[in-house]
Amino acid sequence: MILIGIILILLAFLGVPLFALFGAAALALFLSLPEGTWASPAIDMFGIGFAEQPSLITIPLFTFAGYLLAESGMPRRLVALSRAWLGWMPGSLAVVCLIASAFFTTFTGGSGITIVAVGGLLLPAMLSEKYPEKFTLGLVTTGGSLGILFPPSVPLILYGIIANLSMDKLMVAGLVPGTLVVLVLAVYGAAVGLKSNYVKVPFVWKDARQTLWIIKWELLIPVVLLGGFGSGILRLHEAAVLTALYVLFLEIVVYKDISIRKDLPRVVIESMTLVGAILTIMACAVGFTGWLIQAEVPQKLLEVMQSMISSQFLFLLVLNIFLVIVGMLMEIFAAIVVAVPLVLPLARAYGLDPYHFAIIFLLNLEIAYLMPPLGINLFISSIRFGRPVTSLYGSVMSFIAVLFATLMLVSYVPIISTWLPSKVQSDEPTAGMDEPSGAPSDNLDDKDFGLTGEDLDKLNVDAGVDAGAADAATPDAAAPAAAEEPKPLTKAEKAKAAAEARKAAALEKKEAAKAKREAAKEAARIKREEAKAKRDAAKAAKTKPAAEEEPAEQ
Amino acid sequence: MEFFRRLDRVWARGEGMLTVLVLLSMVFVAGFSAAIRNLTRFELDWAARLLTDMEWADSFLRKATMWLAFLGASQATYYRKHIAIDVLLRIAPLKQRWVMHALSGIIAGLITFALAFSLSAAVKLNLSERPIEYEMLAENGSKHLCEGTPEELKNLADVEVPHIFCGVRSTLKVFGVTAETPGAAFQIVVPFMFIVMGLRFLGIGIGAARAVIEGDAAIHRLEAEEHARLAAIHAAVSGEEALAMESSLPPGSTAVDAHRDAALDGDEADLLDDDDHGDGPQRKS
Repeated sequence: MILIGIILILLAFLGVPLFALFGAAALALFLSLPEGTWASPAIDMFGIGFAEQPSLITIPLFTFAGYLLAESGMPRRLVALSRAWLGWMPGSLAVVCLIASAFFTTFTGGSGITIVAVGGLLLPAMLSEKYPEKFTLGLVTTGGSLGILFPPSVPLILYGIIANLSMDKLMVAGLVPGTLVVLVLAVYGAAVGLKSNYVKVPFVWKDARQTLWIIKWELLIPVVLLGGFGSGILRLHEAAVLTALYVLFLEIVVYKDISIRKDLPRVVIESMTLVGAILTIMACAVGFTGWLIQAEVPQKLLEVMQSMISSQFLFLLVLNIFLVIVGMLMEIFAAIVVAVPLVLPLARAYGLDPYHFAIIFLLNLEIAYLMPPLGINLFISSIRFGRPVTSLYGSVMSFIAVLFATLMLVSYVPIISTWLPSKVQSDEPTAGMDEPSGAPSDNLDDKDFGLTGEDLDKLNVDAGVDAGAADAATPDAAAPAAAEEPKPLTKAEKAKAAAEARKAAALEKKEAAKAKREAAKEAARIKREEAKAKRDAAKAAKTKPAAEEEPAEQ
Repeated sequence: MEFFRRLDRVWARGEGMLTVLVLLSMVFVAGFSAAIRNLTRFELDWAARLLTDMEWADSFLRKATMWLAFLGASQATYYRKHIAIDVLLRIAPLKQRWVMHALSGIIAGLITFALAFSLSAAVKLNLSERPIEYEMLAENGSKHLCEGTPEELKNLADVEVPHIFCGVRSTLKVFGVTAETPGAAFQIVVPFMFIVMGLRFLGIGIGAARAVIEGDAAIHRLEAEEHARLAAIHAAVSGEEALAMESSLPPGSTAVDAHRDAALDGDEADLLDDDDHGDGPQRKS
């Protein structure tokens, strides 16, 4: 097992794509099992772990909408708007850059487009206004990952899927910390702007009104999205579709920035290439996650951590350093897929709120994007603006310091990230994560499961919920322990039980898969019958000649 | 070699068209079904009936997402956009970088083939499960609804034969695949796209290996080809036209460079030529 791990890590540094390595790991694991067949590692990919995952559909839709926006004239319009409204402020262009970047990164998931689209637009303007070059380069590079805490960024959704959190809560969890990050950076930008020889754009009501009027439809996008989803009218994937349709309509019909024949196919291909790269990793990692749990890696990690670190304070510090390094080396999507299953049990054991932890995790990755020597944004900026990478190191250092201070604040003041999610929950009758004592994490999954009504605990699925034996084993181990034992032990117990159940499940893989399909089949049949009955009822209600319809009823 | 390159390009264009088709139909189907679902709030009879008729939509959306994911993955191989750890690639000198490309391409190709095999085994398993709604009793045991004779079907009340699926099923049978359920039939695309990806990775690896063996001139030529490819991607992002040009001209030709320089503004073209940070295969984002 260790040998396989070493080989895979070596291959990773050789540049072999990560999805292939995750796939290879899963293959190696399952084929080494006595009952393992070639089909075993792949069968999960078609189940709840990937293909049947309800939130998955939002990833292509939001990415597509984001690429469409970036491709359109919206960056230009947004900048014009912010200039007209904020131009009188010192450092206004820096603030404009931050706002525009945050907006685009939210929709494109920090894929580098922001630096190209927004940075490319603002860097020359800022330099012409005598902002220091070092500062300006750092600013646009930082902008490339700024919005990932805001809904509906793809990293946020991906995290929610992997960690199996309630999407309703996760979507709002990042709002306050995300705004805080932008605000802190804006203050810093304004301070630098004050010193530079900036050109004041006087506030002219006519310009302000005009720019607002031009962009009004695009400004409604967050309203459409958050209004539809936040009010509970739309499900997340419906909100995603509505956003995509709305943006498509706007850019093709209203603004006419995107030509159906010339631009649309290109934007689709461009965005779906990224989606393909992300989702393939996720699909192949389904098996790999199973391997981690099988090998009891999270549990061993937990034991080592607990023997060395006793306080939550220290744990958070170590975690932050670890995550920045992982994010710098790995790229955000892969980092989420791999690191979340590993560190989530640790976070639970140290008593962190799952939504608080989600924000810490993502904020770390946001910083990792620009972390010298290898953060990806440095390279994108270097290519886009034609500066050597090493010259960017100095540029981003002050921004990293500001972001790191914010990260510390977010890490050690949980209320920043937990306040809004707790509001969402209080609106819902089934909610309940409020009991602070006991074993919050054990209950959380079940409750979140009830809340969204769509997700199964990933760990439990891997542990073989589909196999009858495992179904019984997990609650048995977790429930009594939860009542009395201190949290860390509870988690350890649970991890162990889950791992054992996983083993059992792996052995009965075929039967389990069969049983699952049998159940699905049965459910489908019942659903069909229900639908049929409903349809017949509707027909009957319409007072059609009843005689023809009756015999069809079974 | 040129033949394979052209085939690769044509294939990628086909994948691109299919991707556009799938994504747009997904957007419209999902939009329509969401609209209908929300209309049922107003207790409209026709909306309720449409909603039951649209039952397939959710399943379709999931299958379409899967198709998009793997069509996209295959194109990510073509455009060198798979996510990889490229720390060493970024700092390695030109020749060593292409040695790495050769090795990683061949290894990735072999692993992808193994994954394709594993996936096809899983799909075969899924295909062999006959769902109860497609099960029918005949004189000699049970058989698939699609295989029922008209007489047998006449005896069964309230059975709708899924004609479209039956058509697909008999087509697949020609290739020796017995599909018992439409859900699993959609999954066939996954191992298939993995085979395509595996071929592409092998192509990258073998091409790089040949160039390394042939010497510096060949490496420089390959490097130029990769730049042209990158230009197409870059242009797609920054709103310039280059994808069309990329697919209409052989990569690496001087015409591509000239065309690209014309398409991009001076700065961008320059820095594309100058940059030297591992923008060969497996670039991040």
